[in-house]
Amino acid sequence: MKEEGKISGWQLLFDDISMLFFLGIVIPTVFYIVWGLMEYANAPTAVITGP
Amino acid sequence: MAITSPETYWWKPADKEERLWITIAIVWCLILFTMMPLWHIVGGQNPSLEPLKIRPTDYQKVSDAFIEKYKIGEEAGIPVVKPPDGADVYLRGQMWNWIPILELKKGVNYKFHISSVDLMHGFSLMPLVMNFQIVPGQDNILNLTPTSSGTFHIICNEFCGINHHTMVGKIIVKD
Amino acid sequence: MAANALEFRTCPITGKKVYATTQNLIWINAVTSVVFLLVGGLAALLVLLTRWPAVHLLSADLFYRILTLHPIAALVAWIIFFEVAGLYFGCSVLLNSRIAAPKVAWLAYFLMLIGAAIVAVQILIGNADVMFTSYIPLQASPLYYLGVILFAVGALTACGIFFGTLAIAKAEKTYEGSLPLVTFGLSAAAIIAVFTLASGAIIYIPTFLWSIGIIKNIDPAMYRLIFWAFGHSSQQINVTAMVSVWYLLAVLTVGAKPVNEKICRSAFVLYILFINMASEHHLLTDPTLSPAHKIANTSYFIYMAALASMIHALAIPMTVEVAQRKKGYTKGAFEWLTKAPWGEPGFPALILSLLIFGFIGGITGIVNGTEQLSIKSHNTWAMTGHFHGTVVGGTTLAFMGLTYYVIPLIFRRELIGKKLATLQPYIYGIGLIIFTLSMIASGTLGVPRRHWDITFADSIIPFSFDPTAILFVTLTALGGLLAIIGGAIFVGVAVLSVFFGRKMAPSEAKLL
Repeated sequence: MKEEGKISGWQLLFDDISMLFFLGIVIPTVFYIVWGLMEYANAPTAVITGP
Repeated sequence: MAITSPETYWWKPADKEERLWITIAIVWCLILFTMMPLWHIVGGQNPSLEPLKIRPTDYQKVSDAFIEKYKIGEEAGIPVVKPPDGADVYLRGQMWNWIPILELKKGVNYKFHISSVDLMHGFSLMPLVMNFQIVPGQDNILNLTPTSSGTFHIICNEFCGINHHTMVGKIIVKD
Repeated sequence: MAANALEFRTCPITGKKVYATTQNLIWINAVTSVVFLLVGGLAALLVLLTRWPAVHLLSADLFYRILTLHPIAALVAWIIFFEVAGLYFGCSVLLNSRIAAPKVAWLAYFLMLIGAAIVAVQILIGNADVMFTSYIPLQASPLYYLGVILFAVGALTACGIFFGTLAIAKAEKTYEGSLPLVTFGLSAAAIIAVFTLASGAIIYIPTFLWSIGIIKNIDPAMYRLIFWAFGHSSQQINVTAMVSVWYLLAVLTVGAKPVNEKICRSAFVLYILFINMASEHHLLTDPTLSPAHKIANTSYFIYMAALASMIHALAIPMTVEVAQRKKGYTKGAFEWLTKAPWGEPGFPALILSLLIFGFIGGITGIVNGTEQLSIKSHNTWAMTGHFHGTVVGGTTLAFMGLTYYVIPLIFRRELIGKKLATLQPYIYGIGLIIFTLSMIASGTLGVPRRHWDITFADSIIPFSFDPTAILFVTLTALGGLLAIIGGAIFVGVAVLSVFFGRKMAPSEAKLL
């Protein structure tokens, strides 16, 4: 049990909606969108030299 | 109650039952996660691993050249093509056919290049039910080895316009 | 609309302050959502009767048109309008707070309504036969994309109202300590919604410009990637809102109290952080993307969001059990369950929604979300069965259950047809179980999604499915019909009660 007057840091983090908002936007943006777009952008393009 | 604010200090240790369940769940998640990369190494069937972009006009040229080179006949207006063993095979999705009809040999590995020259298509090999997304501008490269002979069909399972439901292709595998 | 911003009544059951402005906003959004559910349900009926080979009702062009309309009405409009009503309830009523900028909230509503109406009309007049996904280079009329953008901007504004109200409630100290769990869950849904709707804007604005010729080229693969950050994440809003509604239904039906707030909230935080990565599930059989990107994202970094669902799957039945045992139902292992209020619509809706979501929608989601298994199910009816398990059997059923309480509590009308309302979750749930399981079975045999004629009568190269597949398609149709009957009962009870139900006296404290 927590002693009186001291709220767990985790509880404070969970109450901080703006922090959760920031993380909730950044994680999928970086790992899904940005990473994915970079893979498409950096993939080689086939070079066709006449049939 | 879930509709009122909790007591001031709610960050409390979980009960024994809760801890047990969460442990089981985490172990299960870890097993599933380990399986994911493991399939790549142990499993024989993976989606395309070679990244390659190809312009639809270029792809049209290459696949036309492929058809012209190895064409052995025609069926219902669609060319039938028999590529040599181990060749690069071009299978083109276009509204609303899979071109060409392929004649392959059992047990031989072919490098498939599947792409589209117009819209998205869905490659669905029947009756094996193997499906790949075919995206214009991207070469879906798959190493395929037919392991049984017979006639296989390719249906389209991505909407590609009004006659999407008539889009059927064919692969004949001979011993 | 003209109500005084500070006028409120006190709910005789929960003791919460219900502001008149909030009440009006909840009313209009909820009523609109049910109208769209009706449209979506009718579209579902037409699609179903066409895919049933023995009936094959619509012509091909009409079929693809109605198939485009069905998800726009049932998946987007019904669910998001209802969620906006839910967000306003969570931030204003549950926190005893006035709502932030009610005029802007009305603007948000009209943007969403106009957007949804433009989209629906464009589809119906044949300007947008592009399916829900509108994959480039398939092109719809510019107005279609504009409608989607207006809807997304409206919904984004509604999320802004939600966060604004949270700030007001905190500043004006209308609650003490942490947010109530349901509001916390809805905050998670709103955060997920912001990512979703922003992705929608990122992809639909260039697509709109492309449709009017300002932008020449959009890469179809990149479109797919970003579209699914919108298309699949919008389902994650539904999941999160639905779980919040489960906690709410547990309060309303048995008076349950969360056993451990830490655990429940941690699960919601895992949703916020990881669930949106699941958009990758659509791209598993795509070329070019690397296995590393696929594995990191489809596993939501080690299945963290799946873990969250497992936690809720324990926490919710547990809260119900504890509440029931406190009431004295302590005999044996299961008296708490057998003596539960099965004759009240909210309880069976909660339990069936939980079971269908978890066992049908959730498990198939995890299975199909493995690269190699996705090869077996991509674009087949197995996928369609999966998301009807989550979004229809899960979210829609939970929202229906909640509606039976919103009508007396918020709209102050007595339900008309309580007996039918009690039967409705059972009819709808059982129909959906038959429907989704048969759909998944047909998909496993290769039956494609979005397909007018699985007999391939007009194909140059003949092909036909195994008769087993056709049998499962027929079973799907029968299960679907039962679900549609359940859906029709819901719409009937809800609409009749809202407009013609007996008005309740201000102090009347009755749930059903």
